[in-house]
Amino acid sequence: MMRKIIAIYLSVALLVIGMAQSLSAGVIPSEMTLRCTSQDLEKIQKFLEMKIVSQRLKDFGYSEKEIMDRLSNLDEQTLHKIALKIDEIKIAGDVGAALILALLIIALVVLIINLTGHRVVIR
Amino acid sequence: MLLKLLILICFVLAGCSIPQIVVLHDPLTPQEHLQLGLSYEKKGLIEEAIKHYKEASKSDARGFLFLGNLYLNQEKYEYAEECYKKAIKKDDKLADAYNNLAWLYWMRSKNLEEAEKMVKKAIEIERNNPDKIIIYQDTLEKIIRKKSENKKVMD
Repeated sequence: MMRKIIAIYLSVALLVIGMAQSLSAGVIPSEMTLRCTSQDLEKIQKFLEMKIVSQRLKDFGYSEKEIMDRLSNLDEQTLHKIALKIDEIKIAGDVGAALILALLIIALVVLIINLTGHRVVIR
Repeated sequence: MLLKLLILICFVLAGCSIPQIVVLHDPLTPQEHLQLGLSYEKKGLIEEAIKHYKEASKSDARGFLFLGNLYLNQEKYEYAEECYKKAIKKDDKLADAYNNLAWLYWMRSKNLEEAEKMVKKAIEIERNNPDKIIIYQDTLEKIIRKKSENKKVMD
């Protein structure tokens, strides 16, 4: 009885392993196309995140020295978090600024019309 | 009257910070977008990986190929198929895209004729790369086997 169970278990295991191998054999993974290993990617990631954050700070008008000062104080984990969030911060800032600007322009237009003796009514 | 108005505008503007227009530059090359995207994909940061692959795909067909691979791993086969097709359309010498699309068709048991042609094309493109030829050959054999099995069932 025990032999039968082991035999069934082994045949199922072989079948599953065989299927898994055949499924992974045919696809060319992205690493192979890029010709790099996971270790390479790990090293490259920090460098590229540094490049992203540094460029954003430059875009926002920071000098090379200020950028170097700020980046040198960041640990790897913080740099990674900033690199992931940096574009979200930009989008939020832009929407807020655009809204304030739009409201300001509307208020000024209404004010000018009122001061020139006309009335503005919102229906 | 006009003077009063101008003074008022000056006061209002002085009280607010005027929004600046900032031109954002992309510091990464398409190759670097692919590397960072792949690194994020390996860590399970899928949304971030997709963002970088899409950025790379603007000028590098491998962006679509990597997106296809990502969707294939997630079993989103229709998205994967679409991305592989886009990769081939953008670069008709991208052998890996032909192979992976052929493999996808084999997995889904569809378009096997087309799959065979595609993998043969991949073999032709990479004929001097024995590492890849082994994998493409494996795909081709599986497609041919499935085609003959299907034929037997039909008969």
